[in-house]
Amino acid sequence: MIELVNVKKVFNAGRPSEYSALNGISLNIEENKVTVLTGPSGSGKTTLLSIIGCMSRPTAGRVKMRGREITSLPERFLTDVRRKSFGFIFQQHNLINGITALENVMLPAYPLGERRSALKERATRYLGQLNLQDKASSQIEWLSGGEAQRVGIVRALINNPATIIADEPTAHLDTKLSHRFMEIVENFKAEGRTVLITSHDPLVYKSSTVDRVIKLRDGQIEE
Amino acid sequence: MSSITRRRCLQVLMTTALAGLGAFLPARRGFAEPAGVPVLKKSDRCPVCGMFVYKYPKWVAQIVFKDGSSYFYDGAKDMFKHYFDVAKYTPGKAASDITHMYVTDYYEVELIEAKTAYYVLGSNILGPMGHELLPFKDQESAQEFLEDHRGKSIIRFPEVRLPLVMSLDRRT
Amino acid sequence: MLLLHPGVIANLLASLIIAVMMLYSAFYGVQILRHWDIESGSELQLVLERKTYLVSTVLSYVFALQLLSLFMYVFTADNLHPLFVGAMCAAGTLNLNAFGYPTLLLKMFNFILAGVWLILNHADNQGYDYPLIKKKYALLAVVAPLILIEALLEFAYFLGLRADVITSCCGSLFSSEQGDGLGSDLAALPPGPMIWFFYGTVFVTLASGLYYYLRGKGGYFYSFASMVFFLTSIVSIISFISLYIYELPTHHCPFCIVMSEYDYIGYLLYIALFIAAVAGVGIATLIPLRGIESLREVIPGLTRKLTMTSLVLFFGFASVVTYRIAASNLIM
Repeated sequence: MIELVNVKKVFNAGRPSEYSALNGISLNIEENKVTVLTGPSGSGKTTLLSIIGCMSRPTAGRVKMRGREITSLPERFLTDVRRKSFGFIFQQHNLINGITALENVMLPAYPLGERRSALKERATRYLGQLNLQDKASSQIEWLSGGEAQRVGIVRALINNPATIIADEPTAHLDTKLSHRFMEIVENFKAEGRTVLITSHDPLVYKSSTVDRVIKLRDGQIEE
Repeated sequence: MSSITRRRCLQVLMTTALAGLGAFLPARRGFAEPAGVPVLKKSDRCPVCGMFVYKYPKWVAQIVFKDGSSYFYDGAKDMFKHYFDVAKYTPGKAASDITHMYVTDYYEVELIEAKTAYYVLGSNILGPMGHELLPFKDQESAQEFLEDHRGKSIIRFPEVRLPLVMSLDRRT
Repeated sequence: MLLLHPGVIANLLASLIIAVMMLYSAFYGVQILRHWDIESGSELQLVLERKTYLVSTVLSYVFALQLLSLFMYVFTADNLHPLFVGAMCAAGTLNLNAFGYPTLLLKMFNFILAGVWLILNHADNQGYDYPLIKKKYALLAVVAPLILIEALLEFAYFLGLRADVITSCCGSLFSSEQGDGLGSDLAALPPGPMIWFFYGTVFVTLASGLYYYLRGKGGYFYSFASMVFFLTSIVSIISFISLYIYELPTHHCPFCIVMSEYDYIGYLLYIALFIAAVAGVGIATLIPLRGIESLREVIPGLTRKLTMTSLVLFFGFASVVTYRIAASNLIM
């Protein structure tokens, strides 16, 4: 379970452009469930997601993962937790141009020092599970939007993380692909993973796969 | 050219070259030394204070022992310190084993006999070890130096005593 | 103009940088000591967590510079000796005014403290919950004023150098007969018994270190032994080791061995000795911390590395010294 205790995030503190993105968020995200954060743009969804995913630190408050406090961790430990516990799926797929799909998928696993042949085998297998085996050696620039999104999903899974974080995953997908995405999310749940999604796409937050919807407005949870 | 004449030519060339080089070598020494006296090496250190003597060619003093061994000093003062207590700095040797003593004339910058030198005391010229006995080969040059550099007195070898030498170690 | 000598400028600049960074870090250190509370999620706590990352990094470099500055100081003093009448090595240069030797002694002490801080900092970084943060900054609070005093002494020394002073040469500073300073007292120690004591210390230290490395017991004893080795070695250098290196039966100076004519062997010996001493003290600092949860798995590995480092350096020191004594032309 991921526990947030009074999390605040302020940007540009002390300057005229000071902006409070999160104003004291306290919530518990249950394990092995699909949780969706929804709300208008500027409500703090992405900020909250990046704090939970160990990509940034709050200005105040704490985040605990399975009882272990993660916001105070020194840098080297934080990156270790992030690498092993979270898989990220971005709105813009954020794959690296100039290298193949397979290489993109293997990237997050390099720091863990696994033997390359074993890693390659696993990455190819995961790509096969999403019907991307023919595209493994393709350059990213040649993939369609949906294919790139799926490569991004495989990349998120390569280190077998317990939690998947997805930020507006269906923003650039048509209806058919969006439904496909929600099926993949259902699979995640079946595999025992926790899923956290931000979206203002009704197709996502009204889906039957979703267990809980949290509404954010102006950096706070709306009851 | 036949091989015999070529060989002869090379031999002559080599000998001339070596002779020419040989002529240059002595000129690299900084000051004149009496012939037959052992020569200062870069590794020679003053047995009294440990200084590397080659750094101070104008102040070199030397004692030669009857077994051929030679010691160099960074000034007459340290030479006298050794002379007054030979066994302390060179165990197994005594003053009676000394055959020659040399100091460097301050003006001419060449080694002269220590026993016949004239030493100026109290001048404003300092050696590497501070106050020194400045050696000169004759009375006239010693007197001239004394007047130029506010020396206090001129003494000869038999007048040099250990307390006098030690008194030169003052820091003012 | 003595101040334009590059060595002097380097030393003073380093001293200034270190002193300023000490003040900056000590300021945050005090904040941390007063307000640190890992359990709290307050804004101040999170700011301190960010700050300590920066401050620790800065201090690591600053303390590394401090370690270097000891040898830079000796090197500069040695380099300056031709400018001063009566000086033939660093010993003479340091004797030019009343601040030379006190600066050196304080630098030696601060070397050990800086090294211990670096070890403590390294251990702290291995733990996920900043386990040693308060100890680290408490040590900083002790070290900072000492380093500031050292900087003042160093400035007083270099700025007070005058070329018209005749300084004592090391022959008289470390003479076993004349003179009544510490240098003469150490030089006057009888070489025979001293050799026995030195090698006895070598044997006990290496043996206890090996035992600790293999069995994991006796860490405190080894740490104590390594300090004894350190002090004994310095005294031994003055007492008899120097005689063999110089091949002069009366020259006890511990500074002439850093000169180029002796192949800079002094730096080799002293660097080995000082680093080994730091490692030895570091062991005693880390052993009491092995109970801390986040460091439980880390401390044994660290103490082993420190033990091996110090053993290798001590052994190297003893070997080089023994070789120089055996190969020396001096027969005592």
